[in-house]
Amino acid sequence: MNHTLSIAWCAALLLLSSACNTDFLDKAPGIDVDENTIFSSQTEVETYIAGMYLQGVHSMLGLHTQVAGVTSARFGTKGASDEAELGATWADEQGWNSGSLSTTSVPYADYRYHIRWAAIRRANNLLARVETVPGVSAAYIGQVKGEAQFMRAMNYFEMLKRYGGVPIVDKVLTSGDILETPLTRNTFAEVVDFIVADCDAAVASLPNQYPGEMRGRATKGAALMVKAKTLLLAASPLFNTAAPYLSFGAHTPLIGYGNFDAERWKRAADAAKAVIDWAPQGSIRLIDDQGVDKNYKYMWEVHDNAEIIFENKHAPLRRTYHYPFLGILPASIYGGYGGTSPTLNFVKRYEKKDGMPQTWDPAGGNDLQQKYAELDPRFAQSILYNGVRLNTEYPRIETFQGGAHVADCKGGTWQRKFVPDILSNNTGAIPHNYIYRLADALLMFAEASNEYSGPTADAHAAVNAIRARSGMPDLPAGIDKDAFRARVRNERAIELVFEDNRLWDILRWQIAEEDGVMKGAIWGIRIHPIVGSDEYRYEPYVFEERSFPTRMHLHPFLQAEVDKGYLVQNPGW
Amino acid sequence: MKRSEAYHIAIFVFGMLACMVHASRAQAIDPGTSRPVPDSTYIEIAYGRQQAARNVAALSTVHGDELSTLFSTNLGNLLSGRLAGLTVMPQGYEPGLAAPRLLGRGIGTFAGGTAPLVMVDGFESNFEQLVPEEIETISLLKDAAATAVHGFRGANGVLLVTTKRGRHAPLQVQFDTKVGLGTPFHLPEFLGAAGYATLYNEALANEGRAARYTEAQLRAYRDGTDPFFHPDVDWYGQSLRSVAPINTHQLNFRGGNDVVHYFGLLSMMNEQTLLKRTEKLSDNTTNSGYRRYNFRTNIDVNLTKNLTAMLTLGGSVEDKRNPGASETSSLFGAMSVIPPNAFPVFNPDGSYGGNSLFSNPWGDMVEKGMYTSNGRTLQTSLRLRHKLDMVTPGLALSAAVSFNNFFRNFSIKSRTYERFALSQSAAGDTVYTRFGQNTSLQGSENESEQWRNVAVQGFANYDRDFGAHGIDIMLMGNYDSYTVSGDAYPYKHVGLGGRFNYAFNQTYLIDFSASYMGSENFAKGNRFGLFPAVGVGWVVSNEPFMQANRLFDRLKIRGSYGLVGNDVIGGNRFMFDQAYRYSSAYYFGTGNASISAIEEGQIANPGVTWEKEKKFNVGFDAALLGNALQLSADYFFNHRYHILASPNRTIPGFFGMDLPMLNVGEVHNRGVEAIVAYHGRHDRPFGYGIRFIANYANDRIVAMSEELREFGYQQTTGRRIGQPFGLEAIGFFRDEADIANSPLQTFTTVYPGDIKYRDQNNDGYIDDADYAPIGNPGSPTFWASLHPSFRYKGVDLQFLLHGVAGGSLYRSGLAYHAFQDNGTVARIAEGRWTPATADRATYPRLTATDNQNNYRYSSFWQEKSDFLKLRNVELGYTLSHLPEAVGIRSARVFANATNLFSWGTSGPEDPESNTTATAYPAMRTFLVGINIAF
Repeated sequence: MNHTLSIAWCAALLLLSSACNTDFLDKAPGIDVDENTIFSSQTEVETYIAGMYLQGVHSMLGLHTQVAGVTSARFGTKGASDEAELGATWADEQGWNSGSLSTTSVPYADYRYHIRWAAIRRANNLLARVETVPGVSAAYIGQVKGEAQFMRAMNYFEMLKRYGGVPIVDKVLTSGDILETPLTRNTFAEVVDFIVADCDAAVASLPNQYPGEMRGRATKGAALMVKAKTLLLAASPLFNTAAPYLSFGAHTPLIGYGNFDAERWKRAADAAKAVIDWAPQGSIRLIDDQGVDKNYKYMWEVHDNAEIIFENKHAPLRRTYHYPFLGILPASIYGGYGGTSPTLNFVKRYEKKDGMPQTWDPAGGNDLQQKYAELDPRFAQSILYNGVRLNTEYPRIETFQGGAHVADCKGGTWQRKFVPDILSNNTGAIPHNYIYRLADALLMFAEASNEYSGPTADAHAAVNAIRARSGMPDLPAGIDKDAFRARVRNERAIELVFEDNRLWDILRWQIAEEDGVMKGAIWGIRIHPIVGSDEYRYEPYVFEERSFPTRMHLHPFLQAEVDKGYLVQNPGW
Repeated sequence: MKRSEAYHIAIFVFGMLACMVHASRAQAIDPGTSRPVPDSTYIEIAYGRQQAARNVAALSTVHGDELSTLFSTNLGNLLSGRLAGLTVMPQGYEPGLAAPRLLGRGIGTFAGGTAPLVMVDGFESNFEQLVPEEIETISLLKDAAATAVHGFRGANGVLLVTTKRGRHAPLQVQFDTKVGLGTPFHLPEFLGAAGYATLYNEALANEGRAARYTEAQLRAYRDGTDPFFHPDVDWYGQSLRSVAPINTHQLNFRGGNDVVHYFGLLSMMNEQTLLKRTEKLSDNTTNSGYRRYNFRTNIDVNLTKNLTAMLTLGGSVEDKRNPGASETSSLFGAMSVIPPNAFPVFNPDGSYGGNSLFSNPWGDMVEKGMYTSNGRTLQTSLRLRHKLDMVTPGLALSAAVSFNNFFRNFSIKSRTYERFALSQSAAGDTVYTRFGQNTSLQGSENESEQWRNVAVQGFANYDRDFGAHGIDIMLMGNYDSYTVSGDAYPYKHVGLGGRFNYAFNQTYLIDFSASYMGSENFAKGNRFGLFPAVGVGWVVSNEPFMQANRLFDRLKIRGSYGLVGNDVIGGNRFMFDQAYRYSSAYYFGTGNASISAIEEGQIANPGVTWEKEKKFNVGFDAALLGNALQLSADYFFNHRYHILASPNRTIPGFFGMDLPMLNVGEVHNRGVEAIVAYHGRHDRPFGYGIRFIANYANDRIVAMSEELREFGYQQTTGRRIGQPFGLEAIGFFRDEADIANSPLQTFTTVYPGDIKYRDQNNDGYIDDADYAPIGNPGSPTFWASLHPSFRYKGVDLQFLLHGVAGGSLYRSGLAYHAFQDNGTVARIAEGRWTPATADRATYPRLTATDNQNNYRYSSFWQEKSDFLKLRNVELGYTLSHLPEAVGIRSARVFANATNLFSWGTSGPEDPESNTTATAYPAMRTFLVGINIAF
């Protein structure tokens, strides 16, 4: 018996000692991925790169998708400038119009604040680790590094235009780094130089083009665009000045150069010229072969067309009940969320086909359809107005009083651009969500070279190329620098409408506080049928008085971020 | 001290005094109520037993016999108001799904788990499926001295469940059977069709819109003459019956001799739900109900003089079935949404009514399919205990192994079916518009889930007295591995533990205990922790100078201090490892081909560790009046730290990744508990006993690395865990002038009769910045119970009153918010604001569309959840001294009721749980039964 017992106790001891074996608490091998797995092969790295694009590429259209816990905007910046009024009174973008941006909530100002830093972190990690991946070519390493540098540069540019100088993070931070060597805001000039350096390095190693299945990856041209846009911003009145928009004492270098230097326009012009000169190598050209009244629509409708330098590829097929279409169309067309209604202030910017301004009588008139018909062909390709056809399901748009599509239509028209013909109740469409295109580079070149050396022939040629492909006459020869500036600014507004450009142009030109731009009366028209006639009567009216506190030239940082002690808040907030 | 705390403590002190006065006049006690614990008896403690006289730890105990006067399919619910320090919060009432939330001494963490560790017969397992008749005792271990051997699993307290075992006595057989019924405590009340239509018109008028219902239609609703085109359906009445039958039966036997002790039990419990029986109506449904069989065989065998084997075998088999879905929640949800005039139950042609917005609840019950499940629990353990008195007296070794398993297989079969909306054509014909279509039943037969727990333990015990010196030593080692289906890796623990208890003259007591434990959830090198505790006791009544006193029969003062932990820390598992996860895809290529994308997850915390808690406890136990009056009180202070929190205050956004969870949070939790019990002798024809329990626990977040908020009142730090933040309602707007003179409410345009909110930051706007702390969290801080029992000859009567305070409930959803989401309107909306009733309105102005102002999270919809419940009443009559020929030792017939009355909140919700009023309702149950002992 005692023998049996000893055996029993030995067994018990063995059982217990097996637990004392240190392996017992170790995690068994499983499917979890760690950083070493990612950098173990090119295939794995490619998934990491896809994630970098997912987080790092912003969106021109309001996609309202969730990426890494961040839900993107519904409408985009069009409703925050004079381009349009959103039917959704609850839209975050309305905060710009009422001047009520706040430092306590993210969405009004910059929903991408956190995810941008995540993309930069990822780019830094790729730069640090891609060389350690076994069995990849030097060319691949160069390309990936170039993509990471491009991504870092583009995201810094997006912050630069919003905040001025921000901390330069050029490595993967640990929480120890943060606490031991706290980073603070770098100056505006330092961030510009950092972006330019990244772009120069990326241009050196990125390819001109990719094979079709890799369309959407950053090319040389994309990096050149970031550089051009950065240097144009840096040369612009908001930053290239001795008198910043608000006084900021010793912190002035955070929000601009603190002096004026005309040479900055030269750098901007050269950088834009570099894009134009590079374009043929990337098979990039203006779309000018679809007919003067169709070229423009072709450019915004057809994916991967020759004018697009870089685009956000994230959105899969979207239906009428998905964003961005929900944010563009009104409730009366496919049940959208309020719709985007271009303002009269903006519609007035469309010239007539002869290049002369259209006249809009403040007292109204009985010739609305006539006036519409006279406008720049890009008007009909961008804007859905009374009496036109959208598609077979909406063969006639009625924005007259009592019409089918007048509810919420403050401006008198709706946005058409980015609603492709294929979209219908039964058919979805992949949104064409481009970021950079050649026309922007031409206009940047024209603007910058005019500022540096007046309206040169090259500057005229750049603007005229864009006008000509849409059937508009050349700018009058011999106009002076100020007149050319006014024309090129108007050309940017028309050509790049709804492309997330107008708000940033207004801010960098410092024209936001001019009446009718982002401050003061915003006009729309009421439209009335005329009995016994195909014509309609229009009556301009003020639907909104907008306000623009000067401090809104730059975004505020979230107060909670400022309170952590690293960031100096921008002036006025 | 805040006023509410003072209020609670005042009640508490008053209650204690009243009870003492009351009890001091008492003469006798019923055997059912709290029995005095003789000093020589052993009590159950963590991983063992201890002489009651030598215990210095804070614990409270209830006997299984006391719980059988209540009814719930879930044993956890029966503990409500029974164990000082244990708060039971029901989370639902559907039979088979009534698992409550348990809190031991309140809440100590805002990130980790708050549930006490449950140990059944020495091993971690579920206890909620057990029946009272198989329970010997349930104890809550509360302080460090009681829980330190459980190390980082003990900080939330330990619930120690001990099942009945045999004893050295002749065979005793007990049989009882109970039958009864349950009936809802409250059901939400909605207006009929006429009331709905009238108020809907009013709501439309308030929005400047035309009325929907004409005078003729209103008249038709009032008359009820046209049940098809002007229906008035009470969906609750259509789908539910007023009572749900219950029956339970159990048989147990217990006994033993020199060799074998045994306890065996068989029981059956059957609770139907309130849903009407549908099986006879269609092949596509099932009757709703829950049934469980329990069995237990606990056998102790003396294999030799010194070697004992203890076999514990408990199990249960449960069947649950529901029509339509696995739970009744969607059905109850639907019944509380549909306007009474939306459509009739059946159309004139016998088809189901319906429309584009709503399905037909009755049709869903009869036609939509069925859920059936079968769950099996098996709890087994084998323990060998070897007395080694031949080596040295008092030494023993033991080893135990346990295997616990739960397995459930279930099937969900579903189909869709046709509903038709009625309308009338211009010609006057009835037009049917179809929604849904008839399909055949589809679904899977065999779905399953399971979890299992394997544990091994080894012990060395040494218990010996050397004259005045008493020594009781326990050393142990254990490991366990817990596998849950759905989790990729099992949960594992390894530990060593021990206790050293020393008593001098049974008067000066000291108790050291400690454990050294490790878990798989932490990085190598950070896996193991040491958790020591010390307790001291002084039995004052044993001192010579007390021998002359006539007041105290016994007085013990005790205190303890020590460190325990909580390894249920919240956040991701294996947080020490940097996680990478697949996110949504990105697209490349001219064909927009999707490329899966991987991203860095939340930043790892390589040094992640468990929550720690320093527990301080001081208390006393006293017996007076010849041991008839027992008093016990405890004060505790728990300081929990190393709670996981994101460093939102320090790490800036440009860090670029989800912030890691760091062990930086701290919570203070303090409170008191008291028990006053009076019990008399059995030898008088009339006797009564009474027990009063009260406890209070209140927590405060001390640190959580919270970001600085612009307005101080929005900080969570410094408040109770779970503090709700909302707008403070200060009445209704009287008129346009009132609106013009008030801060601008920015959510939408407001009109007279809308809820007016306080401008907390005085900036002239009511917006997100005005969300401030309102009311209390859902969990209470205080409860007290009074449990008197009476006996006169064969008749006995007992009841349990239970009062709870310190929490809030919140009213949202369609049972309160009229017409939202095209929904119906509750009776409380009759008190709505109109210009005529502006002075006495109790409900805001009605609106037909979703109101962005009135239905925000605000104090208007919040109420204190304080309540007093008559939890239990039982009346019985015992027939004893029966003629031997009958073969029955005694028989007792009885009737009891659970949750008979409630005083406190006004609404249709159950104040105890934070479930909505539109869930399966809280039940009141009545049972009659007979108990026969052979």
